[in-house]
Amino acid sequence: MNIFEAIISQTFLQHALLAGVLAGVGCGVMGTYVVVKRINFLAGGIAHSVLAGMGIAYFLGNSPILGAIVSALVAALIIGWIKLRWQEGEDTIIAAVWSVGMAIGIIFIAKTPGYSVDLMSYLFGNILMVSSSELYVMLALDMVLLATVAIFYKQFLIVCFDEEFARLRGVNVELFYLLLLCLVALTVVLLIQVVGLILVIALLTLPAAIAARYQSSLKNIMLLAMVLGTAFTCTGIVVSYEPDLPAGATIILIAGVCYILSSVYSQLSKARKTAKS
Amino acid sequence: MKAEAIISIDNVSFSFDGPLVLDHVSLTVIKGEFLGIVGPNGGGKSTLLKLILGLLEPDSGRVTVTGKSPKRGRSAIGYVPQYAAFERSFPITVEDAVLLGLVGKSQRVFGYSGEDYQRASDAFRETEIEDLKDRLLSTLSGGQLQRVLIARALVSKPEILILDEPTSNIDSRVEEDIFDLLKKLNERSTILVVSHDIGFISEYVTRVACLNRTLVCHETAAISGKTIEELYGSSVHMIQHSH
Repeated sequence: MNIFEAIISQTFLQHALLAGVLAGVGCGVMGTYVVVKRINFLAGGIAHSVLAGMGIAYFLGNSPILGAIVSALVAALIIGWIKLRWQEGEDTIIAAVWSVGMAIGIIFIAKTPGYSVDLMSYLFGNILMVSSSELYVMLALDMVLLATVAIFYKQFLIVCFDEEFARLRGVNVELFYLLLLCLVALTVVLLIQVVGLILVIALLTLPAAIAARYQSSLKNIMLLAMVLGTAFTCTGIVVSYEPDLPAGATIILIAGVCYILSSVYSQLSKARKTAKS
Repeated sequence: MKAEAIISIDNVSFSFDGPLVLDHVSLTVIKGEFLGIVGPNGGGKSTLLKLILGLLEPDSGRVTVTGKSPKRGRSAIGYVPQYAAFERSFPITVEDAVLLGLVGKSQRVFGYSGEDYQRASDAFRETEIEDLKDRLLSTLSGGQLQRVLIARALVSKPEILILDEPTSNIDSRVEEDIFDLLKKLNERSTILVVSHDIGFISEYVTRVACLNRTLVCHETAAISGKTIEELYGSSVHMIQHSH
């Protein structure tokens, strides 16, 4: 059975591809903010500390994805609040939240009685095991992201572009900054379903970083990044199927290769332009 | 007509956890004037602006803008930040950047109204950047960017226009154009300009305040060599501008 026959007959593959599309939409929208606002490291901190929530939820017998949502939001608010309060200590604090979160998760997972969970699937994703209820959660997360960004588009734009000017125009900069981080946190949860928490950062930033080379307005970068994100996840699933490669890692490799190619291409065309003039 | 104070700075001192940056400074900005604030780098010019804009709080003394506290009065201010105050590579078009000047002023939370676009196009015309509307901010020259930032400040139809070093990164011919534009805008707005370029600014402004921790001088006439000495120390010579 080749991949295309398998897609038609196997529900788990259909689920995986749907999850890929849902993740692609989220990473396109929020990844754009992460790239233009340059908060990669911050998003990485949120992503890794999510293990705390997943571990606690698992220990208590609850759904790991709900635990992930709660801990992602808590991590976003802690990091955001600290950053707004003490500008200079930011790096250290993010690193602390990053590793303390993971440590909490590992301890809870280790202490969970009974059959031990596959830690690897949290860390590297298990897109081939996404259930239909998880798909509904992912869809709901996408709706929340898209609706919030559509409603507050200009507020987010002004806060990302020029914080000081935003403050002078009466925008509550702190509120929108924290809201933005919370949306990034929800996106992280969305992507963890697909590639796991270690690889999230690449899927969050690479599509938007590539799109930013070819599109000029924030809206267009988001649209192109959505298309790229979806293309990476779906191609990754298809490519990994027959040789039985880990899907998450394959998706990230494809994204990484495309990013490098686009960098080389834009360097070359820049060099050609300067050579001409 | 009686001179009406639009910004008043009363005995204000300020420090960033160290020596005083501003030491008992008092200054009144009169409605309709074109006031220049000059002084050496680190003399407290930008700090004074931040106090007026309510971004900093004075240690002692009081600042009012249109009779209100800066935080409440600053909606009457159109602010043009220093050239390097934001990320220039940010992916935004001139039109979108100018429309952001209406955030908080526009009736709509979501998107912009027809009236908003009308105001933006008035601002484009006034600053002569209509043909740059669809360009990316990162592709503009220093002088063009300065006009865009002025347009962004103008869309909210401010009573007061405050500019921080508007000509610090552009060549002198463009500098003159910018000041001619400001002169025109002064017909309906009060203008406050911070600049390090003393000789040049004095040709345009109605009044100059010299700031170096304290207000050294505060006069209507062109600045004399003696004041410059007081302000910068004796080693600085006044450069003759011929325009």
